[in-house]
Amino acid sequence: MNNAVYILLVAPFVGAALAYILGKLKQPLAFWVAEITGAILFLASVVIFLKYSNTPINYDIPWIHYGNFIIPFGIYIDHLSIIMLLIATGLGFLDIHFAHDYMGEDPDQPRYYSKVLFFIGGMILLVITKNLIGAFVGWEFMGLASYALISFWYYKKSAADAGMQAFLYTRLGDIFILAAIALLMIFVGTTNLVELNHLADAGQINKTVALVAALFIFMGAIGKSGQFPLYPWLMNAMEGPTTVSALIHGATMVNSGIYIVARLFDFYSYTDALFVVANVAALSAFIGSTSALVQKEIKKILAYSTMSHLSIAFVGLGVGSLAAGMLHLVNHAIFKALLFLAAGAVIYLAHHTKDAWKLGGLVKQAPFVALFFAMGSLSLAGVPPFSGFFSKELVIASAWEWGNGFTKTFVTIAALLSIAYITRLWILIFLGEPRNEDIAGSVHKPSNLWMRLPLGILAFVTLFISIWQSNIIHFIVGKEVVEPEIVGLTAFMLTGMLVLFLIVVGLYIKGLNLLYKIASHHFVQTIHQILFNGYYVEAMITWISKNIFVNSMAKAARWFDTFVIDYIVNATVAMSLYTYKFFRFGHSGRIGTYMGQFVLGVAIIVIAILLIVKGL
Amino acid sequence: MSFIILIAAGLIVPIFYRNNIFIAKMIALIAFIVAAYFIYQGESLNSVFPYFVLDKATMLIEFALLATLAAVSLSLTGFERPLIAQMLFLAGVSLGLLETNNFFLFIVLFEVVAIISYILVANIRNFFNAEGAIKAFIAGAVASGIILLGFALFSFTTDSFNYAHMNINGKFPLIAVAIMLAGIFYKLTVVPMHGWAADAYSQVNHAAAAILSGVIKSVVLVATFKAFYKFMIAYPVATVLIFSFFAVITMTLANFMALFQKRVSKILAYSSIAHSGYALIPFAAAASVYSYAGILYYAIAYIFMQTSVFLILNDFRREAGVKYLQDLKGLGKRAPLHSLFFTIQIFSLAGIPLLAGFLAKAVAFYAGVDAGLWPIVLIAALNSALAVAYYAWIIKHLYFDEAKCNSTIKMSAGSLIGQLILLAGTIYFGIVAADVINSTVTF
Repeated sequence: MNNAVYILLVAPFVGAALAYILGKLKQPLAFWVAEITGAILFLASVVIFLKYSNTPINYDIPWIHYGNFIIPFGIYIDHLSIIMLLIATGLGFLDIHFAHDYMGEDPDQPRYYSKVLFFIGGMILLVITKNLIGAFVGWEFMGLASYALISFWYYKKSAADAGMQAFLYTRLGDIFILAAIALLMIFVGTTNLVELNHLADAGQINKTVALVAALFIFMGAIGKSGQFPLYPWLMNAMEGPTTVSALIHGATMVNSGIYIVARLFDFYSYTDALFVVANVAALSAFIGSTSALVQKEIKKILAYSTMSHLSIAFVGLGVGSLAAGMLHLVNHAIFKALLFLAAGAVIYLAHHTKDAWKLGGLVKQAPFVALFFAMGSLSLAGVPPFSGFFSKELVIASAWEWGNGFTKTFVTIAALLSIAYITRLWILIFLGEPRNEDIAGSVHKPSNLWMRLPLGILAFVTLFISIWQSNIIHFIVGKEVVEPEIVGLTAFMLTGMLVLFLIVVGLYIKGLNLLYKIASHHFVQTIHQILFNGYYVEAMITWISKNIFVNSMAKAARWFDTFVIDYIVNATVAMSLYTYKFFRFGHSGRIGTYMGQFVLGVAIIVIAILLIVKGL
Repeated sequence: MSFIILIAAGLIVPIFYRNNIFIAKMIALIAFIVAAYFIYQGESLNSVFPYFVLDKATMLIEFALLATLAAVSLSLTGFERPLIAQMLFLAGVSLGLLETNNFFLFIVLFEVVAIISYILVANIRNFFNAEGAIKAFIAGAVASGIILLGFALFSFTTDSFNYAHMNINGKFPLIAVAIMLAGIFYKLTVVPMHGWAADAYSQVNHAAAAILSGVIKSVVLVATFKAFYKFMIAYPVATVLIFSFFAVITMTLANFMALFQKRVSKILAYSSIAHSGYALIPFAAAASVYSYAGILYYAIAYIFMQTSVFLILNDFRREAGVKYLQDLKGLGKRAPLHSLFFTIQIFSLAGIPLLAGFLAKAVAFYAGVDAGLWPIVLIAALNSALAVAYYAWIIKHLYFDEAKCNSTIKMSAGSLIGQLILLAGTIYFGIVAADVINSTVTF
């Protein structure tokens, strides 16, 4: 097998073990092991990218194979995988680099770095595997790492609960993926991702089976990528360290849902499941962008914007444009990593203050962070010439061309609103006077090497990556993609954004009094509450699970468990004790007894043979 | 070639081990590595002596054997030093036993292995050790007598001792084989020839018990399968009935006995007997093409995990005076490394997926199903579930109970390297199944 592929498969896990063991011996070693491993992984991805020549790297290695029992496994690296590899390892490396200062005061660094490397390993496994089973393993590895990292500060109850919630919500989706694997195994006979696409192209799969399987896989994607209705975990996941939010809940893991749909794109197109994808995603985009308008915590605003932008990428796929969805995924990963890391820098500067209303006026103390944050914000808002503009434009044009009314309307609103919430956030953090005395006097100074450099790199990339936009699209799809011509779309979008921008600037800089007056109205208060609580979806899920699952179904199961199963289990104790006492007769500890049994055994064998082979 | 190197090293090592154990360990280690290299080159006993054949499957179990013995040699200290030389002799003889294709040599080498095992247990330090050693010796002597009786009978009726050309027709060869099998069952600790093992494994020095229960049993398992394969194919009904019967009673009795033991070593001894029961399933399924894969996988997985648990128990006994289950309480905190290795290997014994013990059971049971013995496999599966009870009980004591004292236990470097070797084996063969299964295709 290709050396680079070997490295990608093995190095993260070896690095994770080493980072923990060496870090326990000497704390700083943990960081260096992680940094070097991250660099090696990124280099390996770059090597694969440079050597790639339009023929996918393809290995079929059955994991276990004897008789008719086969657990398949395989490596398949094509355009899509390479893009995802570059994102996962590149952003992973920058994130580890950034953590040097951000996590610098934490006493548990070995644990942190080994978990991060383990996560990267899971992500790599997901994107280079050829088989749904291998993908599922990688998928679960990431879920485990995400759980462990959200509850990294496990002694905080909120963090521990958030980790648990993330695990349970995503697990609900994962069960459906497992069901899809079983379905495909039984009815189609393969879980090979490439083969599934081929079969779908040739029309050789039963349409109903394919539709159910596709929707089940999409359920998993909903859980992992924070779509409606399984998104509340993503907001609570912000309890973890900000570097974790940047890597896992902003840039990489949450993309895996989009990746799996993109990987099976032909399969999805064949089944009409894309219709569901587009509509669910449009609704999620709307929910995410409106809720982001009213949040207080920096990270929650970014989390809702992540949800909204992932949905925009999903809409791109859902209306049938692989290029639009994947391009937005790539751009989003970069500017969202930038925004989260910049937010991390802000939080670090302000001595771990996360509430945006308690910050303010930071532009004087940290001009570079403010600049990079602004560049990320502009890209997110979709202002030309930043990368976000082009991909968002492509998605919306595709939606207008091929989507239905619902999709079209909601995704456009969501795309427009992004400028409103991100401008609000930037103004709250960087302009005005400090609203908190603690940070008025002293802030942590960000170091050039560990904080400004990674931010600068990301800002640079998000500004200039659009130069190669058509090359990236060409690389993803393998052919030229013509953007649908919608007359006046760009003008409409830019005007809409400008109006929203002016409203937000006016309200938050000039007219805070007016804002307070509007906000104190009862009707506005009600809407504010609904948005602030994410449309009460979390409460709804909690209610359903509490009343239907816990209090009725689980109670019934518990009755059965206590009075039937436990009774049987308890009875086995007496039974096995009785058996034990019976067997114990033979074990006196005297060698004479043993030899007697020995002779008995010999007699049994000889007599048995004579009886069985009587004919001789 | 590798045989000569190992025996020569075994003769040199005693000069050093009293004064400088480090040199002795290094010599042993180098000998094991060089021997493995020659095996890899295809120059084991077969390049010097006739009657020996080296194929891919044999090579694989030999590598596992040499790695395990190297791991054991590295972790020996104190009064266990003389065992280093025994490891080398045992390695040499075991290579012969695994490679031979001659029934006469099989019997002779089997006896040599038995004699080495008596010397191993003869490292007596207290009354307890002595009792175990005497039991092992007397049982072994009786078994040797029975094997030789069977072999004498067999030698009258056959013209050739070559596995392929042995005479298997007629009443006498069959009775002879039955008698010999009974003798070999003693070494494999099949019920009802197991009584000595339950006592001896738990009473002799744990390092010696690791060799007896882990290494020697695995080697004998594979060698016996090869030696008796022709008979098992020729008399399918008798094979299925006899081996199934012994498999079922062995695992059932051993698991129930293990459930209520208080002494850790005794639990592990009975668990070892139970594993013999599982390992008999591929014997019963000899008609299946997967039977040899089942045996080989079981032997390779078992050699790593069983040896490892007894070696750690040895460390526990030496450092913390562990004898009973309650002595294990809180060791998870006091000796984190030991406990980690112990836990993983015990999980492997219990058959938790992604560890060698699971795949070994899966392949062995698959052979059983393939031969149509699914009732036996069902009983075996139920038994493995039962076995989890006492394995989990050990883990519970390690991690979920409070310790009586707080002194920590450090792991010596030799022991650590040894355990890492064994752990690598357990994990590698728990994930990569293709090596073993593909190697048995030509059998």
